[in-house]
Amino acid sequence: MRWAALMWFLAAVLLLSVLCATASGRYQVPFAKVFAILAAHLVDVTSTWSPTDKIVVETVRLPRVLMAAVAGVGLALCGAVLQGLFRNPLVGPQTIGASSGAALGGVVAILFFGFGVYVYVGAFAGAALALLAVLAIHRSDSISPVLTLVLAGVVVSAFCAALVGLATYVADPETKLSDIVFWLLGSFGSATWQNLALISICTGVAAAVLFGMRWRINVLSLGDEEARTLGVHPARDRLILLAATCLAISAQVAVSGAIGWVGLIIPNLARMLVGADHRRLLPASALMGAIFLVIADTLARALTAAEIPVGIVTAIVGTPVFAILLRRNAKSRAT
Amino acid sequence: MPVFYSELMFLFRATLVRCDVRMIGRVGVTAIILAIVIGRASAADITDQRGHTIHLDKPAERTVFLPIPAAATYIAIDGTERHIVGMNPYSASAMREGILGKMFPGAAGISTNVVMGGGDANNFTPNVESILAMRPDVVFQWARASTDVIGVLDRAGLAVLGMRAGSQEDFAAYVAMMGEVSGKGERAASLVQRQQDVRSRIETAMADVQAQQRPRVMYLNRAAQMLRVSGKGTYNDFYVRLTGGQNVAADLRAVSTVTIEQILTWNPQVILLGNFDATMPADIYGDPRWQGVDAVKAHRVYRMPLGGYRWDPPSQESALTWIWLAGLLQPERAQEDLRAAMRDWYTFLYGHALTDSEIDGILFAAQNRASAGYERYLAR
Amino acid sequence: MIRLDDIGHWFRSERWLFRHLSMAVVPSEITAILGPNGTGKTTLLRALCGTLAVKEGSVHASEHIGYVPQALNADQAYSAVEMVLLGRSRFLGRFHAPGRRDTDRAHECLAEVGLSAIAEQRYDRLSGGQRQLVLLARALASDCRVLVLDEPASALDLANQGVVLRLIQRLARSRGLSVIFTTHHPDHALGIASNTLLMLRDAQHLYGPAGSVLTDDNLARMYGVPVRRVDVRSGGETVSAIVPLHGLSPAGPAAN
Repeated sequence: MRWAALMWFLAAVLLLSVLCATASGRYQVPFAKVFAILAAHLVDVTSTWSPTDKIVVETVRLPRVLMAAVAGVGLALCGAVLQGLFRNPLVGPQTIGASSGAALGGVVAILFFGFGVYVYVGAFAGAALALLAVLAIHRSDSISPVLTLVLAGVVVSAFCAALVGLATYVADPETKLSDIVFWLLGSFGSATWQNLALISICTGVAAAVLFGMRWRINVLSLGDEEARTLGVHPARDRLILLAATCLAISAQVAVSGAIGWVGLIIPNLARMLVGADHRRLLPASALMGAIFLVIADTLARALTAAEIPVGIVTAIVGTPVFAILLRRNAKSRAT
Repeated sequence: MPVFYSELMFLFRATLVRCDVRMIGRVGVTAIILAIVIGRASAADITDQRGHTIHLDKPAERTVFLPIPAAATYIAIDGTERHIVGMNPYSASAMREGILGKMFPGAAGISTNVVMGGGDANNFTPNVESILAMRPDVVFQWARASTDVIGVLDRAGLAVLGMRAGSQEDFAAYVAMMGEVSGKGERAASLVQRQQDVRSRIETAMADVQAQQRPRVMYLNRAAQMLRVSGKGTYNDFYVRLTGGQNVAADLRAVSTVTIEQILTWNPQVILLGNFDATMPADIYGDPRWQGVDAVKAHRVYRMPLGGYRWDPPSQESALTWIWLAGLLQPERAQEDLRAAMRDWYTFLYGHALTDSEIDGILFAAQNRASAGYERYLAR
Repeated sequence: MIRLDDIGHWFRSERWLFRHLSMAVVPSEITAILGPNGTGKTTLLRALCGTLAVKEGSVHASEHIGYVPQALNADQAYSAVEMVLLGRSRFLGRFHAPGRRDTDRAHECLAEVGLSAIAEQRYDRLSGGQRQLVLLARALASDCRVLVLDEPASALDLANQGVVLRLIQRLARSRGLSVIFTTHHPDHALGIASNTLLMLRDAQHLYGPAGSVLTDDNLARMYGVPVRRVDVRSGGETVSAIVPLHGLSPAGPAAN
């Protein structure tokens, strides 16, 4: 009962955040007008707004806000699944190297093909390769220490970051370089309805797979041996889950660059609220991730005339929360 | 002579306090022209815009230019590219894409290995060893406060001249320096004087422009993935005001990144696209997010021309920039024939006779022809 | 029913852990496996569960095998009933979650092990004995006909040892399960097992009825410590115990 009530509450908060975000920005549009512009699609409303108001709300802000929500869903879901799969609350899309790998793949694609569909392909390939590298370093046996996984992720991330640095060194400075650097910082500024559709499809497919396998994740979180005795094939299931997380992470990176910390802290917070059962954890993480990233993006773009990369906002919020989570983790292990 | 000099300087500083731009312009530039003429007697000692002095026994044969506009200006003054041994890669790209590379084919062979890699257009950290290997007589660099950027060259034992940009006075001063370095002081003085003449004519023509008659202008240094505008104190700000416009970004400091919403709030009436990325007016007209902007509705988005150098930063062709822009911002008051002026200037600067198709290429006629008022610049 | 036919296995060093091992456990029968560490008990269990492919021989299991691991690891934050519910996983497809029927079954199994009261409590907050019972309930929830337990009473105190063993015995009888469990306590084998397997060094083993296999000599040979079987009469019943003769005395080691 409590869980269902919480889900409705989070959904309401998300809707409210999206509305408030659509009403926020450097260009002043009063909340009532924003509401009217949006409502005009459903009911007949007399026009009190200028064409520019409409453009700002519908073409500049709305796709961007929705994209932040979709990205939040994707990152939080992936974080929750990775933490369940690897039985480690310190795991997330960035610490497991997938985000860095996707960024590297994306940069390589941009260098050769420019900004386009190939960025998605490159990001997916990069994320998958990085993940394979991390898995190769860390033997996914239940005996391995939790630390090795995080360290493997750090190593792979650092390697990808170094290669990205090299790629920016080599990039043609006149056309591609500053664009690459800006893209890497992470921003929803290039959101259009087209690329919103793309990231929504990728995240939707991934979310369907991940949510569908929510019970299997519970089983896998016991470890491979026990999972086998319970009648499950861990290797195959893990492959499907990792492929789906790669899809969601790479779509997000392709469209908005590297954004960290969401996938790491949101599932931990959600777990504190609804427990470890992934049937409840996944939807809760998804909603909380969406809310978090919508608010972070709104702050990133509306605080100053220039745009703060949203990755910086998530880092500023995320790192202290993570520190607190580490302490709690240590304390609960000590008792 | 010294007495005359200090009185001029006093007058110069006094007018600065009064902040009358035109007065400063006229007096300052005159002072500088006089300084060039007077200074010819001691051509061996050159003082840069930091106040440092270097000594040259004879005109430089091997020069290195880190600031991006500098190499092209030097070629115009020196009359040849042969005395340049190193320049910024962005200078090279402007020469390749523009007409300077055709007029001075040797420029393609000049090394661009002068800045540390990751060549962001704002990165001027010098590659000291590479520059030393070029054995330059003089190195030109931005006179920035940071010792990494210019002090490191001093410490390496090179003869370094620091340049500033931002105002026409700064430009005139470093042109003077280039004149001394190349031994072509008269030519440098002539260039400055010609620009001053054009400036005076435009100022006269714009003398009666009221504040509300000035269109809101926005210059975009970059428009592809991010939006960068030029605020107060920049050269772009200077000539927008000179040619009868007002800079929408005048409240911001030098070069700032902004969001599309900020631009929609400013709602510029004219948009100028710089030459540091490949954005053309058609890209702006076609983007749904820009449809609310007055400049898009009125089709007043223009790609700034690329001639012997990019027309957006300060250059030897800046007078043409002013004529071009004046004709777009205040067409009734701007009487000069741009194409004729271009032929005239190119003969003076490079000894080159411009053809009609070259002029069209420089003016980006194909990309700009759909924009309002551009017919006056197209071939009859 | 589960049957091992002449199985043998070795690891990398080509040292046989066990060889020519044959064993059968019929419904309602309990078999105990004893042996010092390193003699291959865990490997044998994995072979029984089907998670290990033996190098020689074959394992025949006519039905699903329910495995109950040791409840050492207490870092699962699921509730007790959720842990039991995990036993239903073999009935669920990859994209399915447990339904009403599965949840009811899970509660039934918890009730069978007597833990209905703590159904909603977190698994990692339960005591060792309770955790062991939850894992047992989990195996039951998978509707297994064969129950394999890894040292089910080893980490428990005396009282809980009795609880678990009695429960195993009851389940074997009432549900007709074939039960195999490993233990370090010969008393447990004597208490509830009908057959016993002793794992000896050098791939040797002894298998047979508990009474005849669990002799003083065999146990001494297996453990390397002399033992004495002692029968104690208690309330009309005879209880057997195995007493190891370590040579301890209250006053200190025996002088020699």
